[in-house]
Amino acid sequence: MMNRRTKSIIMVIVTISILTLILIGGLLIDESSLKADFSSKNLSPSLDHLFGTDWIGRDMFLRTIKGLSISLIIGIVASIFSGVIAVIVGALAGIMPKWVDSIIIWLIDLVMGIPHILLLIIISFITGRGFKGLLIGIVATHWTGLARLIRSEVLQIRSEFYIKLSKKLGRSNSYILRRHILPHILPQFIVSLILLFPHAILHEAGITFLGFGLSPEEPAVGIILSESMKYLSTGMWWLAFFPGLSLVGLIILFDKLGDNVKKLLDPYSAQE
Amino acid sequence: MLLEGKNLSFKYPKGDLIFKDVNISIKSGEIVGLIGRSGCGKSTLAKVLAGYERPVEGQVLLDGKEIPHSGYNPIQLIYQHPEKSINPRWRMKNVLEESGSMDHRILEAMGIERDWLSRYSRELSGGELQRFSVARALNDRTRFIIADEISTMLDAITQAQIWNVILDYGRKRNLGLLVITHNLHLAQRICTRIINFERMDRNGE
Repeated sequence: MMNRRTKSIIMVIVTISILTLILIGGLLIDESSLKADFSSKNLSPSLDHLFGTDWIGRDMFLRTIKGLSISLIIGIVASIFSGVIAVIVGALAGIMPKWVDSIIIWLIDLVMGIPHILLLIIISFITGRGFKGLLIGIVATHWTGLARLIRSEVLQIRSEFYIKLSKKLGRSNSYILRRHILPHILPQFIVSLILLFPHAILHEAGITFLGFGLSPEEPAVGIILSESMKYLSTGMWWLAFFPGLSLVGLIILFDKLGDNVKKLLDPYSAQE
Repeated sequence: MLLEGKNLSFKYPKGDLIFKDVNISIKSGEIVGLIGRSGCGKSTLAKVLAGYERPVEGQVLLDGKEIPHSGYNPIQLIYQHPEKSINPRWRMKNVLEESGSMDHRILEAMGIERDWLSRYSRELSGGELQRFSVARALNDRTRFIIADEISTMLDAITQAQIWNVILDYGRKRNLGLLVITHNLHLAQRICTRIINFERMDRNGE
């Protein structure tokens, strides 16, 4: 019988492998394999074309994988940038004087108060749409929750007695930061960062679906879904069904990854 | 050496004065008991003397000099809550390494078992943790120890064991000890001098 920790480790490895496979697969698929092929258009799913083909004969499985890998890249880059901003802002709010904290809290509330999708559309539109605009938009709207979390963690741990005691034992600020504060924040931070991925990916797909994100030449999942809307009424259900399902699958994978990493990092479940 | 608190007054930012014009002095080798009812400011005085809180007025002096703010503080406070003075994410080994007190004779005298060193604080009981708190403070660089209710929650045997080690160590190194306690019997038994915090005339004892 496996204990929960081993199970979690296996789950983490499996999820990361699947995600890496999608990413590498997407990078290996080039333009030529997504070419129109009118001899095999409008085919329903079969062993040759797992997800069927579209109205100009492109293989939907390859397009979906390519789309998911684009989503993954955007998710990863956006989460990392959001994470960096969140750490800097959150730590500043926790360490700096009260008035800096007040300004930062006000800014976080401001960004959180505007509906994400609206703010995303505006920022993405102003910064020139496409990959760059979308990325800036997602980063600018997704750092807030994490920043708030880090701020509260820093504030809480700063007042712990063992931190003050460490100082009286002659330990430097950088020692306290490295040995006490970072190890305390890191698990929370990593888990929240992983759970930020699906958020970023869904927003990317949503914005792209609405036509404010990636350009139509790129086979992003949002593009695939919005294009297939026209063909759904002709009975080509597979055009939307499989890409949509894959997107949901990707989100669930990240969710599971976050859950399992949390179990591994949380010292209170270390013995299970 | 001489540890002095001169005309100490203290209050938290939003609050009334907790104590006013307190004078206290402890010489090396002395074991001073400080007794008083709950909430009268004994623990706060301990924090002020050990440099955890700055007094609103007055000074804490060591041999007539102010105590430097950074670096190892020769006045070590042993806190009444061991679980709060130990990082829950650390193994006990790291806790001892942080102060550099890995003297195996002391650990043995304290009754700290070898396999406790690789455990986390939640895997030890309060009494076991308090031994680590004490062992951490028993360090070459320590000149004064302020023990704030360190044995209140322990059983009699553990209390005796811990106090024996502290007193023994203190005698050898000529440390000054301030023992804060509710337990008058304990104070009478180990202290060379007892101060009643509430009845303290503010110019000494």
